[in-house]
Amino acid sequence: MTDDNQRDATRRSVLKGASAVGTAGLVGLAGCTGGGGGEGGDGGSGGNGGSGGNGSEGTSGGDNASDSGGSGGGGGGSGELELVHWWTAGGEQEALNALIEGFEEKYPDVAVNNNPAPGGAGSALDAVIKNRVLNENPPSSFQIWPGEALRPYLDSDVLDDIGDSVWTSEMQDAYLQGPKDAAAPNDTFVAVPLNIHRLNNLFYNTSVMEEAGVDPSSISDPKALLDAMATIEENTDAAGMAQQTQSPWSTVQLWETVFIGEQDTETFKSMVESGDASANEDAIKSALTTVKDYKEYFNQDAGSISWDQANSKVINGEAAMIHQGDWAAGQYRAQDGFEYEQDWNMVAYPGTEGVYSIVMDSFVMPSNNPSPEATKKWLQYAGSVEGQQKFNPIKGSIPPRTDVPTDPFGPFLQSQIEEFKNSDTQPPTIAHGTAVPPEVKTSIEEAFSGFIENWNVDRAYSGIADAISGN
Amino acid sequence: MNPMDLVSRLVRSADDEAHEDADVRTDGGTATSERQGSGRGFLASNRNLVESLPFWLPPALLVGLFVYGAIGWNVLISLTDWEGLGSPEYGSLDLSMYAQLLGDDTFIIAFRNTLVLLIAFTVVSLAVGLVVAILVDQRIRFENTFRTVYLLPMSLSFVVTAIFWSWMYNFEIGMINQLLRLAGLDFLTQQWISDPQWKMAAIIFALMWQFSGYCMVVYLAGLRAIPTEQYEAARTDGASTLRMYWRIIVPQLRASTTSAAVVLMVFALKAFDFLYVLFGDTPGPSVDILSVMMFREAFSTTNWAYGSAIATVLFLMALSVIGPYLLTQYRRGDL
Amino acid sequence: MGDVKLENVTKRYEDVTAVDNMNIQIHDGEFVCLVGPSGCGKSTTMEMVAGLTMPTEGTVHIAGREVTNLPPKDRGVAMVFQNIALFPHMDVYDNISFGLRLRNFEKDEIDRRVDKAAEVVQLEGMLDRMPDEMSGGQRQRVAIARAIVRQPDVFLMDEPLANLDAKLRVHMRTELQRLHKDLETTVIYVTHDQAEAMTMSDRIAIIDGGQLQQIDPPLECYNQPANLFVAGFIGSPSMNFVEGEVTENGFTSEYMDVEFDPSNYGVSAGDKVTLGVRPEDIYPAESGRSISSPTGEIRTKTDVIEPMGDEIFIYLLLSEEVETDLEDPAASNQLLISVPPDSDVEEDQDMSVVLDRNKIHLFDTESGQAIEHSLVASPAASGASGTSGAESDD
Repeated sequence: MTDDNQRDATRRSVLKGASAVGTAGLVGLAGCTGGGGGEGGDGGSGGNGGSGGNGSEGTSGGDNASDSGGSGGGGGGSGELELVHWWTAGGEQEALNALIEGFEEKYPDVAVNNNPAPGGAGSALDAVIKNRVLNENPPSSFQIWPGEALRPYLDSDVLDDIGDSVWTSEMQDAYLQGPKDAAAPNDTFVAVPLNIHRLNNLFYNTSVMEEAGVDPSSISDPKALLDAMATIEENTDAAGMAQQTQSPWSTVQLWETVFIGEQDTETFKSMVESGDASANEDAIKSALTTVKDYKEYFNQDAGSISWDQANSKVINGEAAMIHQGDWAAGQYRAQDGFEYEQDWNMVAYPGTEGVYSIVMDSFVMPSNNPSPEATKKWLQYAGSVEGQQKFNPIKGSIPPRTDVPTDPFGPFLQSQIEEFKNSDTQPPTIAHGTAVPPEVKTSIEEAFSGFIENWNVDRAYSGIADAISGN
Repeated sequence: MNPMDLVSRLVRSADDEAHEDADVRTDGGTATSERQGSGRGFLASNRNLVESLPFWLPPALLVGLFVYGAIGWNVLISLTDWEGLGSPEYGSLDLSMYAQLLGDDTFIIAFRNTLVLLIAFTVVSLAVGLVVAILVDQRIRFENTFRTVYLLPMSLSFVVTAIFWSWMYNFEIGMINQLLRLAGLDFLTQQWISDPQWKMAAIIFALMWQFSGYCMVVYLAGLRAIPTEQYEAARTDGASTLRMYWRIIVPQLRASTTSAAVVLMVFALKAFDFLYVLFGDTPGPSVDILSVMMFREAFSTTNWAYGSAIATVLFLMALSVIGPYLLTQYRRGDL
Repeated sequence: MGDVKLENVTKRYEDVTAVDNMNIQIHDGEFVCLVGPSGCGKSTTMEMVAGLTMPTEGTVHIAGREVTNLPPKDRGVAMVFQNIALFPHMDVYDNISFGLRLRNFEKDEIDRRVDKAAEVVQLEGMLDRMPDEMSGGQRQRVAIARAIVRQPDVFLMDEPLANLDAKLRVHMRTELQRLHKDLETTVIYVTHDQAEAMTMSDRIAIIDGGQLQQIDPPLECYNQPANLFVAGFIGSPSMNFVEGEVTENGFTSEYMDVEFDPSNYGVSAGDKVTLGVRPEDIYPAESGRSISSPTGEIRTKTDVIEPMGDEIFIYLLLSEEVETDLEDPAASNQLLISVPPDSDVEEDQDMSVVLDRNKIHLFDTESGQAIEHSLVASPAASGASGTSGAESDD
């Protein structure tokens, strides 16, 4: 072998090695989408954009976030209050801005770093926050569902007790028991609920109901709704109930509402808290069967639309009713010539009168807080009459405090506030995170993802039972 | 003096020394001439190594750290019991997560769906791509336009195509069912993406729509590389069109098929985005795939270790797709 | 059996006519070359015989049967291609037997024929090789075997040797001739290499612009080209042409005159004609004495000299300046002559030459058609008178 050959061969093998590394690297990237359990980042990009299309759950009016997950970095110096939240769509963004403006007026020495992590119902925020908490670099405060949704944070002991610094007795008096329970899942206060959406609503299109000759307030229980819907479909061209079954969460919340309607809040709470579904097997199956029977009256394209598309069917009269959280009313409000009481109205879901199922957003104080004093001020403000009065009318939700003046609210929200104040129970919800830890919620959603495919009650029950027992 | 100069000077002087060494040794006789050669060759290779260092070292380090390091870390996490928001315990490593996987129905279903998606999507896309490539290869009019139109979907993100197809598959107003109704085939209308019987097929069809254009381009390049005489020879030998393609042309497209298939399979493993946009992180048992399950376990339920184990399984699947390909390429000296 | 007849065959594409009213009759067992410059329509003509292209007008008969619209497989033809076109994914046996297997021959019969064909092209023992393991010549033999094995009425060969190197090409040329002798099958052979055409064929069909110019045995094409195109195309180096006019005494042009009696050749004074003479038919004046009927001396000057070993080519200038016109070689003032290798010539040297009157061709400049292939009208006597009438240039 000549020198030249050898030299040549060697260079080739060096390049070969390098290119092998490069090629395999690409493959590694390609094959391993999520980047592995420990990595963040991908969660953000995966979670983006989807919200617009599938409306994957919404505490928010129509979460059309399309930006990719917010960067986790940053974290200002002391005195700067960094807030991470997912409120980026029109109304909710305005609501938060109003809250922040009020806060800045009251505490001019605190600079607010407004750091949204857009993505439907916090799908991107979740990943961002978890990574930052894991890296012990949390923001000053972040948006989260209260209640059991806090469980992973509580288990890891990364939230500060704010019972003394924020939850004054004045504040405790102003909150009803349901929200207070959610703010203190371990009996110490760690979160400040800022707003409440009601879940057990039945919205309806008044003219369709009149045409069908059905009086919604006379429907006594979830099963009776079936007869009403049969009448509606007989007498009109409208579908009995608008629903989306493209992703499972709408069916989860319908089922839990039916469950409370058929049983009561106590049974519901014992089911989710006991960790054992067998005691309530019949109740669970009965509610599942009812939902399955409802299916016959769903709009036919339920499987390929999002919740706001379903809600539009109530607006244009293609469907008579919809079960949805009262964020749905935001869509009615935005629709010209579709007025409360005249064109649409709402009753508590049949069988749930006196129940106010609460969907809440809250702010918390992570440990290792970069700005403890500013964070306490923020949480106090979020829990104050002033703060809640600035935020809620714009957001279309009601204040958790019962002493907030009702004048700035529209007639619908005023009536909701009234019902809230007079409610007997304020149960948490599974679909919106307050009733069960995230892991259980996901497992239940998994069970329902099967249920909305095959509508098999027994299989859905065993999925729910496994989820609740933590298997 | 800039650093590059310095490096090359150092290298050159090292090389000079090597020359001197070699000169001394040549006196020794014939036996040493071989050693001289190898000695110089070795140093020469060193020199090449050093000179090429600035070009391959940074990417190699970056890739090593961010790709292989991350993969390694992922595997390590999958051996722990890490969940929640605490820190992983690296003290006790075991395969319990993998054992748990084997007993998890959800995993079995997701694994099966992933395989079905992988194979069906790849086969269907290749077949459609091939047929279209053969048609386009007939020197049709507006070929370029057609090719561009057909390739376009591939440039769209999964997010866009997912939303697009959720419209297409809408039971009431979706294009597919509307066309069926127009054709008087109402009985064929389906709940495409909610009926578990059709869900996977609908997903595969949508992905095929997006990627068969890519297959077409790959195949078209392959077809164009086959000389016309091959067709003429086959035809004078008496082959019908179908037999000509089946026995003469298609076998010669093996390289195109392999490379397109590898890309398709890797995309199939990544169909996450598409499903996530359509259904969220719980797409339902009929289309649940490993990448979605991995996301769900890791980010929705903070079972980091379990998610990592699923990620490792996915990685091994990707490796088993791409490994044989890389190996044959390497053996043939193409790498 | 294997006769081929093209009648009024025309092939038109959208804006070009590739083949224009072609009439060719090829006899059984004949070896016919189709030659012409690239784009002349020779390949299209062959494709129409093969059935790979359908004629726009006209009919094709093979072996007495009309096949104009039949597909290739039903025509009893086998084809060998320029780029060989072996199927790269099949071994030699599979390549050779492909056509037979498609026709569902018995396995024994296939084996027998493949063995025989392999023997004919000397490929025994190579049947399990893959094409990429073989040399160019071997591959070409496989291609030929693939054609032989079908026992066709007609072999069609489309420049089968064009991709081989020069040496192998000459070798394969003789092999093909031997093969033709053994098989006695009709062969239609397309080439742009006129040397191939000259050496191999029984008859050459010269095609230009989609039209058949002449179809005749090679030497006839060489010695009696039907027109200017054939005269210029056949023969290398090419025939010299001089444009001029007929006078009472013969031919005149700017640079040379040749005496003859116009009435002997059916031309009259004033006709525009082109005189053609091959390089080997021009002699230096001193050696011109050896030929029977030389023309008068023409004064020239040597320009470029190309020694070829067995002969020397000399470019002669008829006037001081070089005036070549590539578009119209007949308008140039150059003459190319070929002289024996031992001739003593130098560049830029005065030189007088004579033409062999026996080998002077006259063409009608307008139509290009040949008028005469020899200016020796009647034996000896007129030749002598021609010689005496020496002309000189002006």
